[in-house]
Amino acid sequence: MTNDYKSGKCRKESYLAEFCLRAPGFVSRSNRGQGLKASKEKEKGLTEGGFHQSNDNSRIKAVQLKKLLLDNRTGIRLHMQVECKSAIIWVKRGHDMNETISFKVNDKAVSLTTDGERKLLWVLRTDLGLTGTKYGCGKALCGACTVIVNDRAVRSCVIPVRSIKGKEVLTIEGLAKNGKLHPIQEAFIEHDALQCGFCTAGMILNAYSLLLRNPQPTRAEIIRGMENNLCRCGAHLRIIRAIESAAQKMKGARQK
Amino acid sequence: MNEDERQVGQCGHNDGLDPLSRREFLQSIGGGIIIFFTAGGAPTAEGQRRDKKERPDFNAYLRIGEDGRVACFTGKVELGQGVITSLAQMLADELDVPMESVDMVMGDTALCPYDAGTWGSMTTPYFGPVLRAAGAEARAVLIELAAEHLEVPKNRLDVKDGVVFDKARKRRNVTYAQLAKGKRIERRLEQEPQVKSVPELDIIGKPHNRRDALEKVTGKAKYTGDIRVASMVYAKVLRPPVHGAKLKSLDASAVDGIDGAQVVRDGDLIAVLHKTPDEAEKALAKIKADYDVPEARFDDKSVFDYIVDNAADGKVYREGGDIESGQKLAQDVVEETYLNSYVSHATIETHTALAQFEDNKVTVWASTQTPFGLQRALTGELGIPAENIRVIAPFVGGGFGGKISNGQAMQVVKLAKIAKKPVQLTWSRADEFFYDTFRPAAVVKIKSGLTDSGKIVLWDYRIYGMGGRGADLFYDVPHHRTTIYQKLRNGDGMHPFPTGAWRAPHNNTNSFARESHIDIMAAGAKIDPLEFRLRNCTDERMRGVLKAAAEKFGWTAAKGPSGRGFGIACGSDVNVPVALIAEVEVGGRTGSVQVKRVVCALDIGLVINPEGVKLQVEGAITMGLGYALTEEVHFQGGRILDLSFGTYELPRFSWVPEIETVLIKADDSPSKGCGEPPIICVGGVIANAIYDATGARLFQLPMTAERVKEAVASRARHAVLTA
Repeated sequence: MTNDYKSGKCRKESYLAEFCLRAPGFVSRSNRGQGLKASKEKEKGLTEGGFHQSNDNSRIKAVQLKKLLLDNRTGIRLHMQVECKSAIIWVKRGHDMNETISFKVNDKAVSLTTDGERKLLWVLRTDLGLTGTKYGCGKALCGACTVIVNDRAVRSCVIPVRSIKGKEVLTIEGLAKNGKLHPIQEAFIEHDALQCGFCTAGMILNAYSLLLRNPQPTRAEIIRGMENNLCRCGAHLRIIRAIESAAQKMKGARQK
Repeated sequence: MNEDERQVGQCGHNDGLDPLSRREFLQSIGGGIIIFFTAGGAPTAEGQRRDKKERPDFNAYLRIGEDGRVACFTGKVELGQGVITSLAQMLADELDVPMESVDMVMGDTALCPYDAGTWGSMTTPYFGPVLRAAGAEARAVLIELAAEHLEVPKNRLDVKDGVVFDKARKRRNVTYAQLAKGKRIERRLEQEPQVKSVPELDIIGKPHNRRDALEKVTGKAKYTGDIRVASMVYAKVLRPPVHGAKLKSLDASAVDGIDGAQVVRDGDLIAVLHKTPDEAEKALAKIKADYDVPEARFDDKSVFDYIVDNAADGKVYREGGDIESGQKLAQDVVEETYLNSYVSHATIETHTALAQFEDNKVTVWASTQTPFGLQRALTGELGIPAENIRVIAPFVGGGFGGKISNGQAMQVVKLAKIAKKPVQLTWSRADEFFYDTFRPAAVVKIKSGLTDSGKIVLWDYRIYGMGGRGADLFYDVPHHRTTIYQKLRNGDGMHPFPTGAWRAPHNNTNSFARESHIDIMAAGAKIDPLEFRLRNCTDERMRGVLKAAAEKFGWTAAKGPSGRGFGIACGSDVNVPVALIAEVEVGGRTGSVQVKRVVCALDIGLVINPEGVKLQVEGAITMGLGYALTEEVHFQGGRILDLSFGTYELPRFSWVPEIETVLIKADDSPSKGCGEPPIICVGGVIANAIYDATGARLFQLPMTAERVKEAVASRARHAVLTA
């Protein structure tokens, strides 16, 4: 079976998604606007591919790559940031075969055989039964699906499960350790920093990543760091306060 | 109570008519002391029943179990609004038990008696009193039992934390659990028992954190999409390109090659089933469908002219005095038109449902505000009686009126019936935007007149495209008329797609129009806008919130535009008067509006959970920033152009102002709902603050940067011409 991952459109969403789509075969910035170097791609073993660069949603360039070898372990669909908006690499590959992918989720080793292109969100929710991670938009625009991969917040609705091979995933179910809530969870409870609760897991994990990088953020830094997580009930003020208070609590405690 | 019951979910439904189902229902309840809230002399949720045929003989019940735990069974649903906490507070207080011993069993039609639905800020004012009365009754029953048990007269007994004790000898006591042990006592509330007086209240009126927070911060809270049943599959539905489109041809052959994917069709409903939702979606993309698309009558720009030009005769909604006399009295007449766009509910949880048929019965889990309404609709759809349909609403990820409609559940039962296996359907974000019942776009035309002394004497108010909620005038105007135009001359409705209730339906638009217009009159009369409102309003509760907000804000009188960027607006919703004062900063060149601070004063009577109220106020004001500044659905006829958060912009962290809430102390007045009132004036208050900052008046919501920029520029051009 041939699977065509071509994507001719390059929307604003792709740009927002760029941070979590660095699968193997990531094209370095030096290649931007010039297509891919065939020799590099030969190593990666793609059969055929292209490079679309977009400005203002219009496709302005497409470069066909030829004579590349097949390797279905290679990252297939890559987004990368380029000059104005974003670009999408597309390739064709010869087979749609399941592969075995091993990683860790909440400190437990997991190994599953599946199509590596599947998004992490659905693998977590469906295959692994971890339903605390939510679907909100499927386009990395709302943050409800946020999980931590190797200490960084990523949007699991757009990240292929293949790309987390060998990595460590933390979901909301794994945040409390030995029955003790994480200080961010405690702060969310104390400050009533939620209403319907559907965005909450994503909010907490995004805040977790934020505090790992910046343990004592200013209010402005919290707002900036949380800006792309959407909450429809309007718990924003409480969430900001909860993160401030958790940062205080974690001060010196060096908790992760 | 068993595990199944303890799942703190949403409401249930019992049609209240069928004696068999009633008997079965009663049998399903275990031992202990059970209080039914009857619809006889006792207070009921009657006020919210829309269908007069429904005559449930009780609306809810509570049970003190043999383990001493108290269970409240209610058809209400927890959507985020916090009734899972406030209802428990009411019950715990009346019963004198700790909050921790109250279990809320909500939104399950098999376990909970009938409830019309969770909307309209009605849980607190209508269900609350019934629940409190039932709690009081249960306490009275337990005191009676304790009197027998302890051989002490009733008047010597008191209760604390679920322990009945002799006031004279505290060691002589018995727990509720001991009293309920081995008993099955049923009471029906025939008369309204005496509930606690305000000074006796202990839990009501004190801030309480959300009771569902632990489940929600640990990922354990179950929403519909988190429910798993054996051998279930996931569905993805094929969304037509345009509302009203007719399917011409369908080619689903490409799906055949996909392992495990099954195409299901029932008329125009086409779906792919797969054991994982993402594979179902991938397979769905392979389907090729052709549609006949109806001609677009109008789009988001021409909608306003269209509905006004083609409206049939209106219906008078409210009238007093006569318009002609008002015209004669008026020294100054102001005539303006206000526009408001379609907005989406855009809950972060998209509509989701799961259907499981077993023999001749079906269980449906659904993200819904109306589990009983859904059950009723399913009896019609499936032709099976209500007692064979169980609807369960687990935690719901936001409602705001959008989950009163249950389209996803109607789809999923059809799919599960055909597939002969349990099917779960989660609408994609694009599906959600497409199938949503938008708040209707509307036009309000106001002609008003003023005397030299700044008294309003004429108010001719016309509404096109929506209803009159929020149009009742609380200003003292001797000659007024409100007319509603909701149909086109050809008899059709005005909207090219389904519309519905959106947090305080119609009131956001009516309050925006009214409060903008009042501000225009105040500025014209060179009177401070607060003073102008007070001069024209004798309603004590409204004056109370206006003054309270002004005091908290530190309002000082100035005629508009003062350049300070201060705005004021007031309104009333579900019998709650509310006043907002806001400070904004306007970037005149970019048209950007930053709301810096909002003070909200409201009068909701006896407050159950002050912290819960603040949470609702902050939430409503934050959500209101969206309809005020950015949210509008773009469309061409039935084609919805905004299908993602990429173009439909919700409020974000950086937009949120400081929000201060002032609760008017009114403990002697019945408790009222507060989910909706605080949002109604957000559009109006920001419009008035923008005017105060810039002198530019916005007549259309949302006040996008582009519109603000244009209004500011046009004001500047006008200033040059008149200079």
